[in-house]
Amino acid sequence: MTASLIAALPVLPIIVPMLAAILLIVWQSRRAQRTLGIAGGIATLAASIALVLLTRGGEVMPIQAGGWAAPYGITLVADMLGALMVLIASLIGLVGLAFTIAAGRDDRFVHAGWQFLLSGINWAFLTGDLFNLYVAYEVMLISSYFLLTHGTTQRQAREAFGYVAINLVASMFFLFGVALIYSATGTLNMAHLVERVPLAPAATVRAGAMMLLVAFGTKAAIFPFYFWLPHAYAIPPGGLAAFFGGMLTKVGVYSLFRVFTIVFPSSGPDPLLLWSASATMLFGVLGALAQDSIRRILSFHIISQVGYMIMGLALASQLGIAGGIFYVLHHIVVKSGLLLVGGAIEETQRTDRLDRLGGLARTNGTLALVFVVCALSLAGVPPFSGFFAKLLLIRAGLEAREYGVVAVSVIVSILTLMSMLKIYATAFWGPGEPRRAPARLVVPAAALALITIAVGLRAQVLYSLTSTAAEHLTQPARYVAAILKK
Amino acid sequence: MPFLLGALPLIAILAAPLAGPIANRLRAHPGWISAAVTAGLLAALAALAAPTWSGQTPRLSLDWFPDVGLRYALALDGLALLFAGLILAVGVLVFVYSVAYMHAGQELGRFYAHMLIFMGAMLGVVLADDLVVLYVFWELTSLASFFLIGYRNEDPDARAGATTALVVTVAGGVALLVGLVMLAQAGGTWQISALLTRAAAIKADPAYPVILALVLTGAFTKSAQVPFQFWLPSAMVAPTPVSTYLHAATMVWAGVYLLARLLPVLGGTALWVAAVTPAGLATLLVGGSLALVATDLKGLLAYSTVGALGLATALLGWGTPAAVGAAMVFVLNHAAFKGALFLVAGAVEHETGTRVIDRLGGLRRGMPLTFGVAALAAFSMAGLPPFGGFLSKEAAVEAFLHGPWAATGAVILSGALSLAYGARYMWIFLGGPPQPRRAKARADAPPPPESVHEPPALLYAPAGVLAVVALAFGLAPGAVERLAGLAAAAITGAPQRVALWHGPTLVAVVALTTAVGGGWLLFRLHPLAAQLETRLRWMSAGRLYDRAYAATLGGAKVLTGLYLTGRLRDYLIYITGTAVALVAFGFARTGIAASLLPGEMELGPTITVLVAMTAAVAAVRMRLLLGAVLALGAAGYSVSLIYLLLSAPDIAITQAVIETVSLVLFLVAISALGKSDLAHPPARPATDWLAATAAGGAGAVMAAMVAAPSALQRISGEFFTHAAQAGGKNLVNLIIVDFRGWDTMGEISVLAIAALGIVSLAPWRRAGSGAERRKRGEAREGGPFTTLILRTIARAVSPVIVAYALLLLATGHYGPGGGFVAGLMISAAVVLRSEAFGAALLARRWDILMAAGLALAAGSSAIPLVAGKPLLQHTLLVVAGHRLPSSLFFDLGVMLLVTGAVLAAMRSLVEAAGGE
Amino acid sequence: MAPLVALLVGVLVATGFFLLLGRSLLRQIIGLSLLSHAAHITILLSAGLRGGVPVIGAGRGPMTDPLPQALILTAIVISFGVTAFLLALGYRMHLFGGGEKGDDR
Repeated sequence: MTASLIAALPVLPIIVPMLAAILLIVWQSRRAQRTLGIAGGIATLAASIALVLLTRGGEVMPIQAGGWAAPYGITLVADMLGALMVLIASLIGLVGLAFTIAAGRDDRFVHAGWQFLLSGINWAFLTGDLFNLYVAYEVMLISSYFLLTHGTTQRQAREAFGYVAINLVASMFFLFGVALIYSATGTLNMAHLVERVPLAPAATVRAGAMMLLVAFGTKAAIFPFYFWLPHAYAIPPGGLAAFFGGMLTKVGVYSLFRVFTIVFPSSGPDPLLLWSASATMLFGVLGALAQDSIRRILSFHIISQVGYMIMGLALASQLGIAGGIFYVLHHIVVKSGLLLVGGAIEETQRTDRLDRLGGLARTNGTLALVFVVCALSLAGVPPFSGFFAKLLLIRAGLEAREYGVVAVSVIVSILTLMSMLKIYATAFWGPGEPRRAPARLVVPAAALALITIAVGLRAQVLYSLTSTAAEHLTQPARYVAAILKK
Repeated sequence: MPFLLGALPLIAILAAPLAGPIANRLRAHPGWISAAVTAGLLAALAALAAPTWSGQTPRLSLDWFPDVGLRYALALDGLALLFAGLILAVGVLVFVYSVAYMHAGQELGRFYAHMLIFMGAMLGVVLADDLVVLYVFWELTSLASFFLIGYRNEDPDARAGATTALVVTVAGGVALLVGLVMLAQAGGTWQISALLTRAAAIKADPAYPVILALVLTGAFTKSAQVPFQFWLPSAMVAPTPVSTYLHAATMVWAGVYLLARLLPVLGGTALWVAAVTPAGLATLLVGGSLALVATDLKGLLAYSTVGALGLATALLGWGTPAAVGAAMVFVLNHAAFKGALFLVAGAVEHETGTRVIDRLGGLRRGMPLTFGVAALAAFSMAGLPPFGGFLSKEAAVEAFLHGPWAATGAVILSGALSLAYGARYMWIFLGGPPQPRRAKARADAPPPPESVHEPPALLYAPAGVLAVVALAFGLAPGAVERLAGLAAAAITGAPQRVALWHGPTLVAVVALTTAVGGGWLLFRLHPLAAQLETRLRWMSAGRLYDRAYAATLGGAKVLTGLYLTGRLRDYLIYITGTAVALVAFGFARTGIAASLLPGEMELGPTITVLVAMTAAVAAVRMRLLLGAVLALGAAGYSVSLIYLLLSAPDIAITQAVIETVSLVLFLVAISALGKSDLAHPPARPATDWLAATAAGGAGAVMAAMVAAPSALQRISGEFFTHAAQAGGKNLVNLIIVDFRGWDTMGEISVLAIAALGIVSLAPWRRAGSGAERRKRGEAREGGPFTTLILRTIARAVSPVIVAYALLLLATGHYGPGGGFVAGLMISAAVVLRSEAFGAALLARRWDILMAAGLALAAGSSAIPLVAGKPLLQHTLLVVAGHRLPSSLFFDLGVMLLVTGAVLAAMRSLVEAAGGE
Repeated sequence: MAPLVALLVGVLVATGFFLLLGRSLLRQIIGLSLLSHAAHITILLSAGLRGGVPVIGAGRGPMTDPLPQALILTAIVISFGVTAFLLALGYRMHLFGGGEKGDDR
């Protein structure tokens, strides 16, 4: 029983929230909804913790759906990278849901959609098949459309339509990419692709890689595909915004890490990605500086921060990719924390415009502290997790002698700090005696702030995990052998 | 013992959040708690430092981030001891002073928390023996400084000053970080003491100039060197204990400390001297000049601190043993006299309510003790014998004596300046009472000198201690010489004897006379200060920073507004344009792998393709929305026909069924939305045509590439082999429900979520009450005759449809068909019946059927897991002699889900139509 | 046959994209449908357009690659679900169109 449970573990983070969602459609009392939602979240989190523990030595846990051996069937696979992403998704899903319940913004649609979204996200992290990744994306995206449009106003619905349209176009690019890759290599299994890509016609593979770059890049919000993000993320309320802003774009980033290293393996730093990373960082942070409301500033920072992650990928070294993954995980925690702080402010002050806020630190000391910790971490100021993420990337960049991108990354970190200061100095400082946010709205964000502090104190623990994850990408032999049973 | 060393910085930081609560519990001022903590740390430092006095270095090194080579490494050598002792000793005095200065009722707990965090961080900076540990504490001091400057944040100046200070120091800090990482790479270690042994290699490294530039940027921003000097005066909005502690005695000296610390690693080169010394001298003169014309008491002291930092920087840049010794002596002296003067300024403000120099005067009568303290300290600042300040100025002149004359001249000139601004400072005590220039100024004029009283003892006693120390430094320089010698030895690596007083040499006399004479002359000119101040303000460079800050924000706004138009059309063009460019770029590099020669053309498919093209073009050209929708339908059916002709009957059927349902949905939508579609602009911008054509071209080329398959064996070959094992003949259906059943699981999830989404989108659920809706539903039933016909048809047809659907489901494994199509047909039958017999049938909770279908599909996938078999593992069940693959249950789930989803969505739409 | 079908893909992409760039909501949805047709046909092209219906025993000669067909089937259903959702969204936007301001945040 234990053995079969362990063997089944990689599929639980997908199945558990889906079953929770099915039950949530049926049982509609508010109490049952909340219990089921939280229980589903906790069970998923437990499964994902187990996955991380089981893969931390570099183990690869494949499941061949239907019992059809890879590469003929669909492979679901948990390796360190996938397990870490599932862990963070389950964590943010749970924390965001707790906030949503605390803010009283949950109804039966939100609960069901939330579990479907979590299922889709985890699915994307755990599948080992290119087309199945497309399917996972669609599960995730339709859930996000649903949650985004639920209870919207006219103007918000229009923004949401833009989000859907751009994502559909990106999905079309995804399908073109799949068609090109399948035509060139005759396979869809990612491990099999590792073996086949070097043998396949280069032009077709390259065209496919470019299509996938556009598709994943749009979801990840990198330059020049990120335009939808500030519009779309202005819509959902705090808890959902944290889940969206923290997690959703990172599925695209994950896919770039996972797939791009396979279909577009490079021996050295990739100039295309380096340019995109630099531009993403710079344009994102400049966008943030131009904004006057907390949520929009934070939205633009999502873009800017994705640039750092892509910088790690573009450097293509073990250190760079490990640093990039470190950055992804750190960022999800911190950014969700900040969005939850923003959410708590919106829920209690009924606005997030800087010119209408002031003096929050006086009445909301803990909230201010949480904001400061997360904001400084985001800007890469020690001693929080963001500093080590930045340190790893700077070091990787200097080792690769890519001084340009290093220069951009440090300048952007100063600009990031400037825009965070703008929020702090106007909303948290200054005159005013704003209402106090109830503790239940502060606790979820505070939990995330504690994580960034803990990671900052013991960066080694997380780094050794991301380093293992990076190894499967830079030297995929073990990953391939485990899946193709060689 | 080593662990105590490691704990020194952390104790202060950990004590920070506790100071306030403990003080509340004890009903004591948190300043006392902080002072007690600091005194305890000072005692601990004294105990730890015993080996240091005899030339050894206590160390601690713990694993921290081994994969990157970071260690929590601290060392207490002479240099660290000098600064750590200074930090803690001044700390005790400032905390005692603050008890009288900081009044309860303000957010005192937070204030002291930040002060203690700062103190711990500052200790960490000077004790660190690892570059990253140093950097972490370095940044922490900047942060604490930010919160302390912004303590009175209702004041916009406080907010601006805090922000400026943080942005400048963190910007410098980031440069420093990159410099430190490069330094560690060049030296092969993060450990500072180990770097010393590799100094030669580092200086020979091609990256050395860059490392130096970056490290100096960090040090100069922190120590307010030209051109970064502007943040320090604007930080003077902070409460006086903060100005004294952070911005006079300790934090601003961190940059000087860093120069001293890295002097043996990076210093001694011509580049070092050329970069550091002139910057220091320039700062010395700029600071002195601005102090002379300052109008604010603390501003005067701030600029004089800028000058002092410049002097220390210049000396360290020069780097000779004598210069290093002089710098160390100066650090100690400066902390004593400048600390005292700041504390006095705070006391004066506390008593008179103002810091404006012109509005103060004659205070010696009201506060004689304070006056005495100030006089002692000011004499030292002015560099007059026998005070400590004289000795350090003297040592500085000596150090530069054999250097360029400009350096010596600048130091002597700065002596004159410091005497002059020292005199200006003292004039608030001497001089007569201020004369309000205008009548209206009288309202906010300070109280007349007669009503000014001596402040509480706590406000002048700590200053008195510092002033006496400054005097003692001059009278008995032994202790200073010893400590400065230890520090200098730690820097230069060889034992240093710092001897301060060589007797009245000619140089000393000349320097002193020049300084005193020049100083007096300058002081007599000070009535011109107000004019000069505006004239000299450019030197502060503050406006430059403000402009750069505003330009960054403004530029960001303009740039972002330029491309972030909020129009979907623009974004789509950016994205697709990039995609086209990427494809074109790829072709330019690797060529096109497709052969574009026309192969054999079959008549049927050719015609169908042409029809599809025509329909697509028609969809664009149609003016009427209805026409466009019908054109889309035509295109869809043609595509379906193409599938059929190209040996894909399963897709063809599904496509046709879906096309029909979509067409119905579109027609419903037109009836609702058609009115809003008046504005179909006949003329579209050329970019639209261009972008669409480019996208189409790229699409066609990629499709052609796809059509040129590679020689690699496809994985689908295996499906033929395993078809029997899976129990079927229709490979496409086998793939969907079995080989790649997991895709289908996702597909039906999408359907379920979409249906749920459609239901959730229904604002119409709120539009009317249930009873009203039911009435409308009845009203829609139409006349009795049509109902009869409809009912007859429905009664006859719907069972047939359901039966056929079930047949499709059952035979899906062997021929075209399957659960999806079956589900669509059943739902069509239900819709038909509900049209005929009223909406009651449709009003059921179809979402539960949908959930059941999803549960069946997911369950039949997951159940094998329980038995320890893979997900979706299917077996062949033998039921009544027939072989039934268990995947049938999966397909049944698909059918139920599709039925439920379509009906749930339909129900919402029908209700919506009813609600209209 | 393949070049002609590839051309059809091009035409579908061009027309679909052109419609998507316009302002009319419903035409944008029509454009998205055309784009999805283009993507599906492209996947079918990867089967090579040769060979018979992939049902064992249905005909003589080689069968065509069944995998792309299965992929398309999945993709068609997914785009159907999304299109239906989009139409409902458009409908809702229309219902809200009558000058309702909403709680602008």
